[in-house]
Amino acid sequence: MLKIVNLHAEVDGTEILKGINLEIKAGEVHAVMGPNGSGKSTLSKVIAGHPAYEVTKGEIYFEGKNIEELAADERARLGIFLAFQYPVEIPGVSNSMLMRQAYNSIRREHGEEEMDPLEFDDYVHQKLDIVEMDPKFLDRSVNDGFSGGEKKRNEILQLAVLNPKLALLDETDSGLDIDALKIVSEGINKIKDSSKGVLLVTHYQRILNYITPDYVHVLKDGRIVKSGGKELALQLEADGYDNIIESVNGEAK
Amino acid sequence: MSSVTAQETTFNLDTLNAGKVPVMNLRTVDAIKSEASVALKGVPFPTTRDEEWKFTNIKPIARGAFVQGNLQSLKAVSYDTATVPEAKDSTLVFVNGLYNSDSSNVKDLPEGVIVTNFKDAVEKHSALVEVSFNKANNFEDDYFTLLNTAQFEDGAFIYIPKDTKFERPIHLVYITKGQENTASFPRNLIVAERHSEFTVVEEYIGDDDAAYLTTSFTEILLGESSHMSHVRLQKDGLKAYHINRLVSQLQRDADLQSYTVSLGAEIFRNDVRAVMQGEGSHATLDGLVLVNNNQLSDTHSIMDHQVPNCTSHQLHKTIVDGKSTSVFNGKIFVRKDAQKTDAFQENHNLQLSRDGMVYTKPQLEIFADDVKCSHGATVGQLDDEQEFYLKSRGLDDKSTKEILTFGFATEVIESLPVNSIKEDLRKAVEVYTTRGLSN
Repeated sequence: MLKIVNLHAEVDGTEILKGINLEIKAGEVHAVMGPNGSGKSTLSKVIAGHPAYEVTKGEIYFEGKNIEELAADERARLGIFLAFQYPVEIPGVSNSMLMRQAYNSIRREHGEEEMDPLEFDDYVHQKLDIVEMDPKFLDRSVNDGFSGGEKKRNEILQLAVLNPKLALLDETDSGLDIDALKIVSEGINKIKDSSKGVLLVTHYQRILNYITPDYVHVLKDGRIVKSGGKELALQLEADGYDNIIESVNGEAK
Repeated sequence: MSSVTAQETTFNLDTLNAGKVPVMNLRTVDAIKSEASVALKGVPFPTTRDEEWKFTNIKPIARGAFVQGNLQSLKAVSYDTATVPEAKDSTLVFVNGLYNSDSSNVKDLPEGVIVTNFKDAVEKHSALVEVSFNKANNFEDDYFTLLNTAQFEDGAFIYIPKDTKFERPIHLVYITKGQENTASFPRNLIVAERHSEFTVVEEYIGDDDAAYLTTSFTEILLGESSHMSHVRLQKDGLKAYHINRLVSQLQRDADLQSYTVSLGAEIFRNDVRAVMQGEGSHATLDGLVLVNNNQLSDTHSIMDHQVPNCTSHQLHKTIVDGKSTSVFNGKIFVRKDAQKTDAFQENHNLQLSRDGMVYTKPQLEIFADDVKCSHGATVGQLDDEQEFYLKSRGLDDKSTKEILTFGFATEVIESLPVNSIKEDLRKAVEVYTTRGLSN
């Protein structure tokens, strides 16, 4: 589904990603972990097509297609979704308006008929339960005045509504209390299935108690320095990033 | 080539109403009118050399030889009061500054409430008019205030007695229609007694093909603990010139929520003022301006905190496209006695084109020492992170810009008190954004 080959990317002339190789197949959950500044958030933004990041070397293939030249909206319509670490507030634009327009633009891309507002309303209401959200949220402006937890739930609601092939979850767990973390994780578990790929970027291991990854990758200074199964996350939690990374460096020497 | 040459910087007063001052047949009012007429002769027509008119060149107004609307043109116009269904039985219609009784519809008013035209009020409620007319007017040596005072022939008169809640919005419609160079001078007087509650919508509309002039003046006197919602919709024709003054005077605990939405006119100058004379009073003077092509919209405001414990709120948003210009000058006065004042002012300008101009100037003059005044002004393009957020959801570039522009504007619209007007404005904003972006 997603294949990243020797990816280098920079922002404002500073190189952040220094040769990433990663492959995600349908049905797989990959966790990318790493200390602050390791480049893990950058990785998800580059895949989603953030215009501030420039790919200087390497390729990103989505379903066999090189997507490097595609703008963020084109990638989204192909089926890539980014759940933001810091969801953006957009006063004056209602949640339902945003989701309906986004959903219909994806349908148009696939040659499907647009959903009218009434049909869409029914469709969205079915999805609200996934993240235990009050229907009143639909009429509120996007993330405007939302608490941190509400913003993250809203990202997962959009994920459920837009139903992408690949979900990039950028530190979706950060800033959540335990109840909110449970709701968000369970929501993600309900949405993921054998046809979808998930890239879960996280600083902490705790979300992996709820969402079981198939692979865990440790990112350091723009490179994946260690990959393994779900037990790697537990090891990170127990020993800390420094020890893991040191032992990697030790092996290299 | 025309054989007549006019001095560029003087306004041709003589063509107006053949140089005469319209008479209202009420001694105090007529005395004020003739005083204004005399004073006007000593006040020069404003130019960009005047600090208050620095960015607003009104030479085109000086060049026109305007004549007041006549009764003939009045007959040719009709208006369906159900356009704003909430106000279908509480609508006054004015055409070219004159009252159009055929199109107006006012019925089933609560006891003591008066919604009528000024001329009628002068006849039937002369005592009320005499004690309130021109009382809040604090525009000194202002050319257009004097012009309106001298030249007005009619306008709206609204009186809400004490302890009265009037649920329906009162809709005042001002239509300009007919030949080039029509001038109208609507004069509105709104008086609310203590503990009253009501909503007034002023709406100005006109043809796109004629250059006409509207010089309007609205005066609002709010008694103790009265609550007024006020909407002013400027939807004039795109060649129109519109100069408006709004002044309100608030007694103890009075509350004014006033919103001005400006969509039309080639040149629009709007001066809005709230004078908080009673402790605990609150004034909101919000504004939304959408300009395109060669339009110019200039808002000057004064929030005058004269006594302690008053609050004020001002959110002024503008969207500038094409070669249009937006000017905002927001003054907040906090007088020596006005401790515990809480004043909020924000001006946000969204620039959609490279050729648009934005001038913004917040001016705070604070003479008390225990006050909270916040103000901020921004000028900019659409926010990059918001754009990326929407695009990452699949919206293309055009839809993203439309939806963000729409969102920027609707923040003001959402506060409006009348649903059908909100809906109408949402559509107007959509038209503006799609038209602007297809250029």
